[in-house]
Amino acid sequence: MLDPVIHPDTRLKIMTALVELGLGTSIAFSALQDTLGMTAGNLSVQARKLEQAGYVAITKSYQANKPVTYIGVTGQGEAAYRKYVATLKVILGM
Amino acid sequence: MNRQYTQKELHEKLRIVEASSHVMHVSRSYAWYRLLAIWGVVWFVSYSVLWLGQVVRSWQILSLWTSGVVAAGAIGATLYIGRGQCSVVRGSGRVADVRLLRFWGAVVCGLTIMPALLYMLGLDMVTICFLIQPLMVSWLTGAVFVAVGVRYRHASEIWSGIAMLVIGAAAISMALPDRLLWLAVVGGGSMCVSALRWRYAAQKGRLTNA
Repeated sequence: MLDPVIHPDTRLKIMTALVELGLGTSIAFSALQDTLGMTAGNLSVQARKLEQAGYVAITKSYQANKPVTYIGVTGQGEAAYRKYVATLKVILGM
Repeated sequence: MNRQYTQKELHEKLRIVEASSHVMHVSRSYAWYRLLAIWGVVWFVSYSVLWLGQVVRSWQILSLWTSGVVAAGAIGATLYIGRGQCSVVRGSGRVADVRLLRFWGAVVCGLTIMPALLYMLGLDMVTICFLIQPLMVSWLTGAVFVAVGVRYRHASEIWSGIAMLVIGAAAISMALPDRLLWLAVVGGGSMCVSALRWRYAAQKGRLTNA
């Protein structure tokens, strides 16, 4: 069974990008938005759902007095993502 | 349970995984193509003015100073872009970016500024010309670029390095009279072309169905 939290296209893109970035590394929200070509609202909504599942960690900090939001994959999220991709390949017979 | 997914849907999911992975990898290199383009222009201007200094004797000092000023401006741009690149990523993944920025910047800065500094320290033009001759600079830069590219898995660095090694070999075998100008055009040009190729690859990899 494919993980329903990761399965929607947008969340799959976010998870793939964050896993590619690596565990223990986070990226500015705006940079991820630009990279994936998503709107701020869409990214924000989908990221919150992933955060609620414990798959991503969202943190806020300041840079030059400007608030910056960072997002990174958690250990649980990385494991769930790898399981999702492995299951996907099994179903497709790859 | 798996029957609820169509083959088409699952193949699409796999395509999304591959495309997202690719676009993330490429986008992290975005700042580096800008640096490569800047250094391509710096390389061209620096060696062009050095060539002018060789052709017009009275411009010798002026050309060295101009090269130094251009290189200093490029260092500023490198630091500005590098700082921006490093600020969007936090954590362990940032380390490679910082290392690459420092290493790459230091090597190219050194090669560009070195002639001007040595001249100011009192070395004569004959010695300096030996240090900036196409063969030596091309091969040294090429070897460093290839090493850095392999170390950090940056294809553009590897291709630029190979181009520089070829330029060095061609310069000595063809024995061109205006080597500095030739080095300026081909060296700077190869960096700019490499940067454009990088940018094209990044744009091509961008997802369109987000």
